[in-house]
Amino acid sequence: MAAETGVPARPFPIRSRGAVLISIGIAAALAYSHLGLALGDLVPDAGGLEIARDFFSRAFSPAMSHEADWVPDGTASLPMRALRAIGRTIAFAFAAMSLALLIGIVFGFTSSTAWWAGRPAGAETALGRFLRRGVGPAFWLASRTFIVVVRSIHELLWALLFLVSFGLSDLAAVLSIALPYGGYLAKIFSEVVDEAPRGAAQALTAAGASGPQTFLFGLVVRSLPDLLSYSLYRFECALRSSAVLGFFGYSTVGLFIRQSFLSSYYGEVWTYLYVLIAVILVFDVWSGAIRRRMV
Amino acid sequence: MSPDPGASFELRRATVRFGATVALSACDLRIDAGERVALVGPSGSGKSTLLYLLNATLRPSEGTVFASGRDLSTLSSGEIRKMRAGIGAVPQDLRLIPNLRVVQNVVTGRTGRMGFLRSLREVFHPSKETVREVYGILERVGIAEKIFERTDRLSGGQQQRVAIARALFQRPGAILADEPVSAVDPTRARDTVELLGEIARERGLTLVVSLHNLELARALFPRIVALRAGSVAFDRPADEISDEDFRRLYELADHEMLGDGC
Repeated sequence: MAAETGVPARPFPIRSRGAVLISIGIAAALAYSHLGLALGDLVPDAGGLEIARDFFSRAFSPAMSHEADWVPDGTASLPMRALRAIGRTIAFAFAAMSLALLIGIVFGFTSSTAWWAGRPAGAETALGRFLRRGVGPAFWLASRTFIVVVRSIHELLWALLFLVSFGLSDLAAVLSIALPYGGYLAKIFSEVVDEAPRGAAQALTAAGASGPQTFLFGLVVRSLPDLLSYSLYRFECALRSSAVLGFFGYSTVGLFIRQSFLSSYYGEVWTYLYVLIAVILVFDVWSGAIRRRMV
Repeated sequence: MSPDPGASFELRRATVRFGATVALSACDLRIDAGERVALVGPSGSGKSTLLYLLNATLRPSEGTVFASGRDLSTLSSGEIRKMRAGIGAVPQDLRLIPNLRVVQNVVTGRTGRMGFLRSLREVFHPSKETVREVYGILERVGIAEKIFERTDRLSGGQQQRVAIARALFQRPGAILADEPVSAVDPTRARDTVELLGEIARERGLTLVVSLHNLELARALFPRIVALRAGSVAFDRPADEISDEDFRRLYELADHEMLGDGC
């Protein structure tokens, strides 16, 4: 009937998108069978159950003082120690994010195509042509490669690499977060700017604005809410990464969580966890407020 | 920085092709300084293409475009920028920066006449004199009280006035407006076009506006250029145009223009 009335035939419902979903399903099934995962693995033995019970039973009674029978004189009280640890966790995250933002802005710019891919308005000079055809793409490729490399190594692997090469240095801890995060930010920054609606930029060009002016006002300023929003989210991730770096011996909250856990002082573990959760919650509320104002 | 005197435009045998489509074919047109011209014609007749030629947003495939007597194809990038700084454009989709304040959007209109550092300062923290000047322009377009509001909080009609203010802040010699009525409801449409016309007359600006609405064109513009299928169908003073002319413009267009235009 459809052909007779000139209405085109309906497309078959499973096309590329459906094929992608089905492939994901098949891949998941293969992964499970390859790893031999079975629900039975989750049933713990008696010893494991007891530890779990001990641990979770302390969730409602976090420690307010040291659980050890003896602590050296001059040891800070537990709440004090937790606050200091979380303070250092935040400080590491701040230091790392400020560096990551710098990397993100510089490499986000060089990894974007918007600043060189357009054609100029009038006759092009030989130098302009060389910049556009040669220097621009070369910069782009080099910085693209750089941010892929720093990003593909997880911050914990960077921490491990730096630990091996420099020992337990705080700067190494900051760098191990700053490098991959700089890569994430650069990737997102460049994509946001490249995909920003071009209208405002075209209006600036039509009013005679120069290339840098058009780029800054028409693309970067226009993308600021998105850039800020992503940076805030990354800062929250940096707080968690900074906490986990403590497991390597850096003096963030993770160090104390690990020590207390290994000593079976579960009440202390919960104290530290609650402080960490409180900080993330406060940050979430605060960044949400900023985002609502900006976007 | 004195305002440019009204700019003039001329097309000589200007043809614009997009692939196999001819958007404008061998078009001849002269617009003198201070003239107010409405470009009318059905969708795809080449109105927007013609407007985009005038500030070198588009280059003709053949023929020549002159702005204030200068052949645009001979200008360097810097000279093109200078020429564009003197022509205010009010695009159909406004093209404002939504997350900036109204005053900042208006100031971006003059970036073409500022160095980079100066434009940074004036956009992010406009000087008192700039704010005063912007306020004056916003008063003229009727939204002075919105000067420090975020632009995307404004209604469509108010945003359109921001786009007009941005063009005026350029201190232009000419204003090009592409279908300034499509973004607002019909009652506001007349106000907007009327406002553009009054401002152009007060300041001696050349005004070229593309319009769908023929009645509006005839009521508000001394001269009307009708386009059909990429050519000038007629070019006459508004009071010499009959309803019959308009009817034929669209009738013929319906027969000829079934394909896509620009």
